[in-house]
This record gives sequence, structure tokens and C-alpha cells, in this order.
Amino acid sequence: MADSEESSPPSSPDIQDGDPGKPREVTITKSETGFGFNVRGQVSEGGVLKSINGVLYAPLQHVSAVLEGGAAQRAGIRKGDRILEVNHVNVEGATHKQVVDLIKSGGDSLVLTVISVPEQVAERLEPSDDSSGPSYIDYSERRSLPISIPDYQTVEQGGEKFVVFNIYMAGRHLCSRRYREFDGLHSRLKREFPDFNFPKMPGKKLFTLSEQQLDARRRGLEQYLEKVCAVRVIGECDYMQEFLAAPEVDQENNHTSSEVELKVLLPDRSLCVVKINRNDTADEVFKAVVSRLNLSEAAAHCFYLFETVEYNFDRKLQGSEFPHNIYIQNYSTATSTCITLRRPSTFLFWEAIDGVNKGQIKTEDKLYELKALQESNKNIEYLKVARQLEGYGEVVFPHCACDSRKDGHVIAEIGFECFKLHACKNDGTPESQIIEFQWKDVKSYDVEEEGMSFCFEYARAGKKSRNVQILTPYYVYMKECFDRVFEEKEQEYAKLPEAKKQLKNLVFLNIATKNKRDVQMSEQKLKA
Amino acid sequence: MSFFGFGPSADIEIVLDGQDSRKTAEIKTEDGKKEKHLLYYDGETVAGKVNVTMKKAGSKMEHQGIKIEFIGQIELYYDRGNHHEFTSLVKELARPGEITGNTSYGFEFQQVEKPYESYTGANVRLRYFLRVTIVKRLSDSVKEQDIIVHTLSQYPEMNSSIKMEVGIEDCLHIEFEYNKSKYHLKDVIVGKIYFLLVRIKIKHMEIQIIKRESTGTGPNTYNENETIAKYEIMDGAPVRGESIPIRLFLSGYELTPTMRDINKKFSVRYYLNLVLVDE
Repeated sequence: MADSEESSPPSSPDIQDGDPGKPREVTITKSETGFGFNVRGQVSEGGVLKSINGVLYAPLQHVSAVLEGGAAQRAGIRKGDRILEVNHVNVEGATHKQVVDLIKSGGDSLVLTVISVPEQVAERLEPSDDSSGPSYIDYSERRSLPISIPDYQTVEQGGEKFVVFNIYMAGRHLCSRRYREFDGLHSRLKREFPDFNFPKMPGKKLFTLSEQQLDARRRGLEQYLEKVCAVRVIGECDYMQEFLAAPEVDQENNHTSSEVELKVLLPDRSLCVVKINRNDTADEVFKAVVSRLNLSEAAAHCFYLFETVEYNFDRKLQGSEFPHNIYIQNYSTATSTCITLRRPSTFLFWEAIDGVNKGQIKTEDKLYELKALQESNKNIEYLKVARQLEGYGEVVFPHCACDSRKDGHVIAEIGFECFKLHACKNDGTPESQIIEFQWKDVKSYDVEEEGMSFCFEYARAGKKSRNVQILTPYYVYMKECFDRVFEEKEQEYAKLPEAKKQLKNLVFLNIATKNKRDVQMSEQKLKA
Repeated sequence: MSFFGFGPSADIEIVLDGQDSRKTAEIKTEDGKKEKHLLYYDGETVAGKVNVTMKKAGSKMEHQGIKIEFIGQIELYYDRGNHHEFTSLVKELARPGEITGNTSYGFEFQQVEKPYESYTGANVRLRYFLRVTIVKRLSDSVKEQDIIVHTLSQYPEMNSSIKMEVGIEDCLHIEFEYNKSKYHLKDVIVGKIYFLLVRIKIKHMEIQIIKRESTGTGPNTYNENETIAKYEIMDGAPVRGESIPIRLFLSGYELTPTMRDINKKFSVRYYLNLVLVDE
């Protein structure tokens, strides 16, 4: 790049307005930052002529970078511009050194004849460094994916009728694509991996196919997808991921449709299958599940959709999330679905059993009794015993960092009685220290979007209250759990006789509003 | 062409624009025959007309669409099933309907990218062609028309010579020189061989041009060598200090440009062999 210490002001640019694809002359005067562009190109001389906008040129040096706000940019030079002449000297087929010398020879002034090219042409003329030399893409690394196209259906969109093929992965419906989209994917993949031997695609036909032909096409597409996705590099490339996951957009009609099937695990371990749209929110999917199960409004109010994140941990979905996205991203798990329907904080019989089995509920010596009750299906008795045990009604979060611990993580446990932070190592192995926070000591809590964390403030006897920040990815769910606890506490409080109400700390009740003024007023009321 | 007489059939003719003004070029086919086709360069528009004529006057043919494709493909002879299409453009000429008598459809592929030169070799073939397909219920009617594409190169001004000194210890030392390192197809190789030490009896000396075609990649590379030219430059035994001139006219031989790693599928390179034959 030509540079200079000169501080002369830049001159007014001389841009010819015309066809962007035609050569144009540009005059650049050095500024404090020099000319403000980089040149890149072949080291050798001569070479094969390639066409730019229909005209053949010898290999040209090009502008590889343009300094933001520099003299070249102001003069109208753009990244990728091909250089035809430098100071009226033709440099077609010139070496890099020749062009640089010519640029320097003009001193402070420079006249370039350039031709702008769109990005794909630039790519063709100067393939990126990755592709120079032998390409070492390892096509031998394979894995077998349970991808299949078991059926197809005819859809009508914008007055046009066509066939879409339903793509499934491990029995889960991913998306539906028409032949045209498969063809587009094939072309793009061929360009991306030019040295891979692609299997044959079923042929193009210009007219409607018979049932037999459609089925043959379905089988052909299935075999193609299977073979192509089996190669790890291709199966994981952007085009393939986009093809398998992105919502179908019909370019002519701009209409996003595609009905998909979603499996939801119910509390009694059965599966519920609902038909939804790919981009339905969690709220919409929940409504579909509720109507499918014929749940009453009151019952529906107690449940919501959760995502099974880890063995012991279900995260409640937010109303605006897209369950189908989460559903298909987890296709590699052993279970048939990662979306479950549950009650947010209290257990039902099956969930209690689950809790016992997973060790969430600490059974100690009650295990035998519980098993006996489970065996005899004595649900209510089971729950009675379970409720007494430690861990019942608790939500345990996966281990994460906390600002009050310099080394090591914490496991947050939200229970109805109190909130615990269980110290553990960075890998989650529990340590002995457990800190308990009584709900009445929790003065306020909130999520911090910027830091992606959950923080709460708790009162300490005789000292100033302290803020604690928990850095968990499930910070939103944590806040919801807190909300829920406080809500239930409020309900519990409301059921208490008057006398007891007076005694209970009113600060506690107004936490949900997070309004300090209210809190203070209620405190005064109590004292009065 | 349907030999079983499945319904009325039509003749398809592809007529490219500029037949009178455009140059033609020759290329060998797989069987060795020479074919002449119109010559195109990279970036040029490929346009013309497709004439569809019913064989039997008065008959009509139902079809499900007529399309024309412009295809650039690499065929590896040992892998016939797979054609690697590096350029593929398609245009629809007619929607499903009927053909009667003579119909003519115009087409234009604008500024088509033709990155490589047409090549027919021992194990690989690179060709560009237009293909018209009339889609019918039972079998399609297809007509292909080849074109030839040449790549042009700019000649480097500085073309350094090749100069080397080689020999066998105590037997033979020679110094050879060729005037350039890059030659064009109609060039002349001018050089000389200078004998520094001769202790063996040499019968004659000749220069050979070897063409090496490499197909496949990595461990599957197959090299096929072919001697394009053999030219005797000296007959009899030379003595020390003797300088033998070389003048070889390349236009007399069938050469193609050097092709490096075309679409990662094949390469074609040329070598100059200096052969000294002793008693």
C-alpha cells in the first residue's frame, strides 16, 4: 500500500457516473493517510484471459481493501475493483510489483482506470486462499444419520399446486421441501464441494408425475439425502443445515407455511402429538396441546411447556420462544422429544416418582415405604410421604458461577421453604458448604439482561443488605421460579387467620411489585 | 428419434447466431475423428434459434414442454456415469402444448461464463454444448449441439530462458538452453546444446515433446504420457566444445494449452525431453 506523511488535503473526486460494469477513470490525491487502499494480485506476468461483463481481460491486480474515510474511498474506489490502467499505463497482465511501482511513480497524484465487479465475479476471478492448492476436505469421515422421507403431500400455495416431500429425522418431522428446493440444494452443494462425487439426483420433469413416478422420486431424494448427509463435512455445512431447518419460504408468494408435528411428553409419560406451524410460539403450541388434551381452563393454568435440558433439569419455555426449533435441535437425544408438559413447581404423582428416582427428592429411610406405595398405586399416600421429604417441590438448577465465589460453582435450589446455594466444584461435584436464604430475607430480585444473570438482594441481621449475582443461562426461568414462590407464599398468607397475618412480615408480600415505597408503607401499617 | 413409431416425431435443429461471422475451430472426438464447431470465448453471449419441424407434414405432436440447456461438463472416461457439470444454464422455450409444421424458438444465454478450454484427451473430455429437450410422455426428444471454447492468454513480456548443466560424472557434461519458459501454440523453441565433456560414443540426439494427462486426485491420480513429437537434432558423435542448435516449430504438432488442475479434476502438462542415444 502506498503511504506518505504528506498532510495535503484531499482533492475533489472525479467519478464518472455510468454503468458500474464499465471501466471508469478515478483520480486520487494522497491525504494524511496516504492513498488509502491496498493492491493485491498475481506475482507473475501474463496469464489466461477471463471475461468481466462480457469483455476478456488479462489477469488484473485488484483493490483488496479500502481504508474507511480515506482518499480512495472518497474518490469512489471500492473493494474488489479491478485495475486496468495506472497513470494512463495499461497494466493488463502486469505483475504486482509493476503496478505498485507505477502507483508510486506518480507521487501525490494517482489516476486509475478501474472496473467494479460484483462479489460472485470477484470470487470467480480470485478464488479465496482456502481453495488454492490441493483441497484436503476429508470426505471419508462419515456418520449415519437417521434421515428419511417416508411420504409426500400435495399443497396449494398462491394458486399453484405442487408436491412437497416430508423430511424426517429419527422419526421427527423436520420440514417439507419440494423438488425445486432439493435441486437448488444440490447445485449449491456441488459448487461448495466441487471435488466430491455426489450421488445422482432423481431427474427433472416438466410435467406432473404419476403416483408411481412420485414415489420413485421420493425414494431417490431419500437416498440422495442419506448419502450426502452421511459425509460429516457436507451434512454439517450451512446450506444443509438451512435446508433441513429453515422455514419454507415460497419466493413467489412470500408465504411462510409448513405444518409440522411436535411430540410432547405428558406427566404420565405418554406422548401427545400436535400439529402446529413451524414458527408457532410456545404460547400457541401450549394452546394447541391444551385443546388436544381437552384440559379445563383451571387445569391448563397449572401447567406449561418445559424443555428437558439435562437429566435432572427441565426449563420452562418462555411464551415467545419457538418450541419446534428446540424440538428439532435435539434430534440426537435418545428420548423421542425434549418438550414436556409439567406443573411449574409442585409435583404430581408421576413427577414425584421421577423426582425420587432421579434423586431430587431425598428419600433416606422412606424409600422402602415409597416404593411400596408406588407399587400399589396409592398416589395420594405417596404424595403425602413425598411432600415431607427434603427436595420435594424443589427446582434444582445445573451448576453455574456466582459472584460471591471466586473459585468454584454453585448449585441453586429453589424450594418452597427456602432458597439454597449449594457450593460445588467447577465441574459440578458438590462440596460441603450450603447457604440457606429464608424467603423473608430476600428483599428484591431481578434478571440482568446485559450480564445474562440473575441477582437478588438479601437482608442480613445487623448489617447492610447484600447483592448476589448468579450467572446461570437459565436466569429467566430462575426469576419465574422466584415469582412463583412468592405468588404461592402470598396465597398461603391470604389463607391464614387475621392474627397470624399481623405477625408475618409484610415486606415479604410486596416483593413481587418491587416497589420499595409500598414496602415501607406496609411496614409502617404493621407497626401501627 | 423414435424407431418404434411412438406417435408423430419432429426434427430439432439448433442454429447459432453469427454462423457467417464467427470463426470455427476443430477438435478431436473420442474416436479420433475431427469435428468442426463454432468458436466461443469466455463471457460471450450464446444465442440462436431452435427450429422444430414435424417429419410428416400435417401431423402434430403433443409435448409437455420444450427447454434448452447450456452445459459445460467434464467427463472422466473411467467414470462414465458421473458428468461433472461446472456450468449449467437452462431456459424454457415452450410451455406444454402442441407442435404443428415448423416452429422456431429464439434463445439467448447472456455473457456465459466459460472458464475452461474445450479438451478431448485420452481419459478425460471437457466439452460445452447446447441441449434441446422436448419432453413427451413416453420418451423425450433430445438434440445436442457442441461448441468449442478457447481460452486466450496474455503473453508475458519477460520470459526467462531455461538454462541447465547436467551430466554423468567423468563421462558426459552438457549444458542446454531453451530461449523461453512459456511458449504459445504457434511458437518456436530455439535453443542449443553445448558439450562440455564427451567421453562416450553418441549415436544421435533428439528432442521430444511429452504430453502428460493427469486425471483423478490424491492417491487415485492416473498419469498418461504421450509422445507428441520426436525431432532429431543431431546425427553422429559430437566432440567437446561443439554446440548443437535447436529449432523446433510447434505449429506442426497437435498441442493444447497447459491446463492446471481444471475444476480439481484433471491437468495437462507438457515436457521437453532431450534424448541422447549411445552405441
